[in-house]
Amino acid sequence: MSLLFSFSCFAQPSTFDFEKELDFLLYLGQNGQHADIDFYGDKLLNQKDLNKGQKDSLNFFLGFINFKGLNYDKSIKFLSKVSDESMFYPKSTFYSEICFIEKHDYFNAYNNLREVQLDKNNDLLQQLKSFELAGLSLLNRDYKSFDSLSVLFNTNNIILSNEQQLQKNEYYYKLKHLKRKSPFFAGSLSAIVPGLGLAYAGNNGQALAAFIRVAALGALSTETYIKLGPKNPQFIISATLFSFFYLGNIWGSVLCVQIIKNEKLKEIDNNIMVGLRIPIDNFFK
Amino acid sequence: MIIFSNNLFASSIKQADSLFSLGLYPDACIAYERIIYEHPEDEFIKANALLKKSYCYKAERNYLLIDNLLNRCNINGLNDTFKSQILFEQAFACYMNEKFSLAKSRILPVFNLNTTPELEKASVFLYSLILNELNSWDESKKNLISFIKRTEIKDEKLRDNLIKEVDEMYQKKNIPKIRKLKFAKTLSFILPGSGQAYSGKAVKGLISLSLASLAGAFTYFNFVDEIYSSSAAGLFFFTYFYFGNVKQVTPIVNKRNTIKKNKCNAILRTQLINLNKHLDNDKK
Repeated sequence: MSLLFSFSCFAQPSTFDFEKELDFLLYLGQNGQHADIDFYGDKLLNQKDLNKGQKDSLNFFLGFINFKGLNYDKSIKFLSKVSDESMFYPKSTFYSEICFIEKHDYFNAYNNLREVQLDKNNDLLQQLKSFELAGLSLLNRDYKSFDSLSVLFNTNNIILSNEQQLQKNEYYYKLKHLKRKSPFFAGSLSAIVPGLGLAYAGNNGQALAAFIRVAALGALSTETYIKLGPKNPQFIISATLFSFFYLGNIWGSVLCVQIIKNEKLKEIDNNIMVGLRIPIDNFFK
Repeated sequence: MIIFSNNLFASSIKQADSLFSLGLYPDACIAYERIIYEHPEDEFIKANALLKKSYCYKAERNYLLIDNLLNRCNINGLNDTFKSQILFEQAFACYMNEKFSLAKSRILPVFNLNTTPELEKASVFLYSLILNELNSWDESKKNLISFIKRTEIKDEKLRDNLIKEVDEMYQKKNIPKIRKLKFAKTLSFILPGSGQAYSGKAVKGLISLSLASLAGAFTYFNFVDEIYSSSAAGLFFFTYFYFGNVKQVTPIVNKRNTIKKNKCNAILRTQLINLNKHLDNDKK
């Protein structure tokens, strides 16, 4: 066992030089050796010689490398270990929030950021925090919280003003005034004129296709009924097909209302998410 | 200064090799990377450490990372033996990752280099395995026979026997007949279902022919009876079945060829291993 330990120590230099180790990790990152970074980063973190500041730097470094490699779970794990005394603490906090957002875990992103104690004398940081919390409130559909936070928006801040305006005047407005279309009404419209419910939901292309499909089958059923009579198998098959597509067009309209609503919400959410990322990147450039 | 640097490199590589021999592959990987980090200018040290790191991945059966790892070597300044080792490892990793065309492009330059007899033999066998996967069985056979003819064999009888063995391995009856996709598609265009039958799926072909014929007959009789909407619907179904039948040919041909090819190549792989053993026995 002791032999194994002594051999595994060969991977590390005999005298521990933290700066050099960080530089080595950076070198591994530049060469895309992510598996090595994970393995060696964990090993370094378990070193007894590390002081608190060094551990913070290492956690921040590993968190950020994983963030760049889109490993958000690992990134959160390391970034959340950076202590509030570290100079990297604000950056870690905001980037771990981005990680939660990328995972669509808006609830934890909001709660974690709310709990964070940032330097009260740093006005810019406080404004950034309010802005991020406001955006997360929108993603959580908590409009009351957004109203109370958006009051704190400062339009003189160059980094935030543009995104603040978009959040307040566009995304918030769109979310609040997103028309709540009735699935029942869409279904009724499609029962009267096939495809009309889909057009009401906002999907004109599908509406036209549904109309042509049902109309063609209707014409087919009518012709076979007139020429061959109601007991002819050709009529029975075409009438069954017509009924099937007619009912399908009604059910499709009912579902389409919800699908289109979700697509619109997703688009707004994506815009909010991008809007939350830009000021953080600019702030910590 | 150079002597000191070389000594440092020798001791570092020795330590890393010890980790490797103990099976501590992640630790060995870090140790090799540290050597490169500490000798950024020396291409020979870099290539040596990267090659040894690739052995760690190989031991862990992690072939995915090897090709990219060895791409970091600048092989232009290296000697032929070293160059061929790197190219061989890249080709082997690509073969294991089923990137056969890339594996071929990696192994071919090895034959123009002055390399060790062992590596040359390994490269010849790897090249044959790659060619088998690329359906170039004739080329694979030629590659093996030319190697047996030029290699040093004590027993001349054995040489003749080995050539015979290769000839038998690649006999026409042992090599699958690969169905041509274009030809199968053309057949299905001319007569629905015939492409499927050509690919060995006669029942599927018969179903395709029946569906297209029924839809065609339905269209025709409704047209004659002046039921035009039914005739139009029949035409829709006919085109659906007709073009569907052509589309169906591609996966059938590909699946059939893959099954036949894999079956044949599995047997050839075993035979190539035996051939290799015969050559080894001769050297002993």
